[in-house]
Amino acid sequence: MNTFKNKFRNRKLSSIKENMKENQQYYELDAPKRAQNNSINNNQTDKSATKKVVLAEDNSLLLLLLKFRLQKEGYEILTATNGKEALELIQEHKPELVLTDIMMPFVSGLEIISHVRNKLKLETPIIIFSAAGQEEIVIKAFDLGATDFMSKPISPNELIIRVKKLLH
Amino acid sequence: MISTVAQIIIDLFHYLFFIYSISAIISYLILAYISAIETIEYKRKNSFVNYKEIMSSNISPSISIIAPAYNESLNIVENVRSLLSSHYVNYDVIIINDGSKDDSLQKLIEVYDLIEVDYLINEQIPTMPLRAGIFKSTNPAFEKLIIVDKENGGKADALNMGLNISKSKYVACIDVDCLLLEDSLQKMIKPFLEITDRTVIAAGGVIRISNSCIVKEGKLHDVNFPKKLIEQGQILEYIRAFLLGRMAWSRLNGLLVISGAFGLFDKKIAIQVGGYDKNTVGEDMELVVRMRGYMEEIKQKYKVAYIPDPLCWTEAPDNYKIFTSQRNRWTRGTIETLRKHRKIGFNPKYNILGMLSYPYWLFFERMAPVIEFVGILYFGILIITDKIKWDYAFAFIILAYLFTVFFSLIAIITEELTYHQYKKKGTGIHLITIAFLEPFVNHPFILYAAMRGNFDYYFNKKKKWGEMTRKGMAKA
Amino acid sequence: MNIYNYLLDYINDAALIIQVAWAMTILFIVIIIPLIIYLKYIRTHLRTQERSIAVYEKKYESYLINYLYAGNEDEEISKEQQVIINQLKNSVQEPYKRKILISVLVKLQNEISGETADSIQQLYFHTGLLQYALYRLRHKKWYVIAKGIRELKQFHIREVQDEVMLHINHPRREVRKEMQLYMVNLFYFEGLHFLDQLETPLSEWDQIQLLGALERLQSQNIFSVNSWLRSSNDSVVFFALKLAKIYNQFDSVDELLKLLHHSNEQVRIDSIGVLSYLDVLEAKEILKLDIAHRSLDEKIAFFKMMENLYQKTDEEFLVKYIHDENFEIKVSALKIFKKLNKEKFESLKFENADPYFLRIVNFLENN
Repeated sequence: MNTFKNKFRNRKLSSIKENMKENQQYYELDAPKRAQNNSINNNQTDKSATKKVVLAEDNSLLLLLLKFRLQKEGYEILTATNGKEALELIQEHKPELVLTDIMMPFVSGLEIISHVRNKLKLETPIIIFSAAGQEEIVIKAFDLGATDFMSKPISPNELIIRVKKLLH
Repeated sequence: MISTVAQIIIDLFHYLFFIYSISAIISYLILAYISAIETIEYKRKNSFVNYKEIMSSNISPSISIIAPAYNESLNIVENVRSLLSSHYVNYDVIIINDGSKDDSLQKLIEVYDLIEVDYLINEQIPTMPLRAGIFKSTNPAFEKLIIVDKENGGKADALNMGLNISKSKYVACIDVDCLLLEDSLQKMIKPFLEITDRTVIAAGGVIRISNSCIVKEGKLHDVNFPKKLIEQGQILEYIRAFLLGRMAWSRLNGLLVISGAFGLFDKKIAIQVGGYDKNTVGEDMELVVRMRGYMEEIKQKYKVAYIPDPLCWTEAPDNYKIFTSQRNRWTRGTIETLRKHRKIGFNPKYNILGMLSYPYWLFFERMAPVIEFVGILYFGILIITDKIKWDYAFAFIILAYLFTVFFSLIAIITEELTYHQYKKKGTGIHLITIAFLEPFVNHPFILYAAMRGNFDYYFNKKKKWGEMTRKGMAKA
Repeated sequence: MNIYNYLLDYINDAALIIQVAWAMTILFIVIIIPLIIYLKYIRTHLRTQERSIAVYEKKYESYLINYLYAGNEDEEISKEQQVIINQLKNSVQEPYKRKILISVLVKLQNEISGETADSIQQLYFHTGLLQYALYRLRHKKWYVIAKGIRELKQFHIREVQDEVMLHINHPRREVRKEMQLYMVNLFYFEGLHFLDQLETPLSEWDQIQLLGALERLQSQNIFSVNSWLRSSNDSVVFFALKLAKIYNQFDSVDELLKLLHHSNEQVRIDSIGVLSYLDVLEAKEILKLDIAHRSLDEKIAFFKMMENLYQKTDEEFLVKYIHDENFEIKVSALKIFKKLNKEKFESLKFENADPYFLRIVNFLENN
């Protein structure tokens, strides 16, 4: 307990004050810009090969975070907050990869897999996100043709590794 | 001599009438007060519940949603999709096509890739036989869906078929056109799992009116306040009944009714008492009373829980013809239930059920329209015979009116402070207006329908179900 | 003036009851008017509040995303991150803004793990939010304490364990539940030791949440559940039974077998289920001896067990039950019978003309 408090105080003291800027500066989202810059740097060698990824997740904040993280790696990200939007995006853009949450409003992740494999007849890799304790659903997802799954809470770094592995 | 006797009778009549009115008002105030306490407690307890954890857990108990459908072809595909989108993990959806004469089954077979399956039914409650059989989807994404096509036997019969078919521990009996919010099952199951000192036998939810609301992709997208006075009046009526009435009864553990549109039951006990009664039009109330009676008889501690969150949205009648036939049916259902369970009333063996719930229901729900009607009749006679004391009449009519308005306003404020569903600017003035108008626009029809119900019950036994023609839900 | 005088006279001359009625009328008017004004006010207030919450949420979400992207591997807190922390520190002082900020952090914290989650925890330390949560633990109102514990759980603040543990015997169920969830979420199986001291019932709802927390854990190194199986608190026994099943506690088989004679019927039923799941043939033999005297639900659970653990030698025993009154027992018995002796099973069709019985036999034959 004590060590914890000390640690905490030390951190407080080490705060860097000279960097105080105007409040408004960080109000605008500049992460995407930086992410894009990054992506240009990363892909200098093969600009034409920007790979499209559809990302479906109903937690808007997680969606945003993963989107930026993936953009940073140089992928083109199309986002959807529900299953129906995701299906429309997949149909329209024919992405190289689909990342989808299992539990989503209206059209579930399972239906997305089923639609992509059976109706659209696409072999696009699909990674699903499931909550802990949903083994049965995950098994069902694999039956339907899911490529990989990640259990929530998700580690963004681990996601990137899996995405890279599938797309190279 | 005769005139003095007559006078005494008339005086007695006046006093009884007066006592009745006063006790009705007092009971409303007490119920409202208890509701307030219970609501605050409920809000506090549930402000930090993580419903996500219960939904994702596969050791959560199994629930079957049972939805009877009769000639629902217009919306059946959408409705089923909405039911399938619940966020609970361990549940299935059993749609009972109760001998529909339309193309409901065909539509379902096409959209959900259904095939007929062999299914061993444990026929614990006798029902009408199957017609085309039992269907399941070939698409694993819809594996929670079971469609049962049977001969027509009415709503209670269809629900009983569902009870026989279900393999779950709990059953959620709902109207097929109800729109359930995604987290409704975990909210409803919570009291069953949480209360340890007694058995929860059933839980009821709030019914909200979806007229004019925008439903998109099987989800409630936008809540609107409807334009027609008849719809607005019903919204006010529902808010009053659910937020100020049932909430209090739940606290007292005296809840008699779970709305047929959405209720969760312990399947074993529901079957134990014989399932739904086919011979009443008030099968939802009757089952709860019977289950409660049974628990009292076997002397087990129990509770009928109530969830005040707006979880279930349904379309209400938007014209007076259907409205009165619906209320007529409700009246008959109440009378039938109370008569069938006469032995419970005023019987101390049944505790609160016998000594409080039943008498309250008898006097203030069952008898209220009759007494009001007699009062109006008497008033009319006095006018005709020119014996009326206008100053008395005037003072009391205004007082009664103001009390109604006051009570409605309290209900609206409770709604605003708790769930605040009608968020749009400009709705406030409509809410206030309807509080003033409701006694004129809806109440006379309710009274009329209740009297018709009484009449039909006693003199017109063949009266059939009031049918509700549905318009398609508003779509974006 | 005339009308006024007339009314006054009228009221004064009227019967008492009329006077009371009019007094009440005036009272209601006096109440109704402020009610209407209040209603209008509350609606406007709620609308503005909702708008302002949305604005702040957006603002804090963008702060958070920027903060997470401003990190680098060299420093614990980068300069850019420190700027954001300082800005948020101001917001944290207002309870209203603090609440919104916490909700934004939680929204992401729940769904993410690894470095990003650590980063959010850092933000929680450095903005001073932690201090407020610690104050809550000592609050008088139960729901404030419960919320405080929940928050500490969400941000994985393990260091305040002792203070949280103080609430182990809090009179409110909700506080105890949050305490238990805190322990299990942060210390996993180690945290389960509160069960040793638990005297209050652990509801099914609590158990599901605790198991959910354990499920999220990678490690499967559970301690022995034997002592909990022996607990005098039946709800702890139920919980231990669930643990025994989920974590395949073969070491506990002896304890489980003892539970077949527990005084609580539901314990007996649940332990039949667990023993069946663990394929303990011995349990079947024990139950066969006195199954006729056990309750219906126990019998049903036993036959479910038989479906899993049947042996050739059980045939004779089973024959007695293929005509049992109970549907589930009958189906179970027939199902096993079909597997044990197909020939004899098929001959059943001709021995018995009861359509109800035939329906089951025919169904089982095809499925």
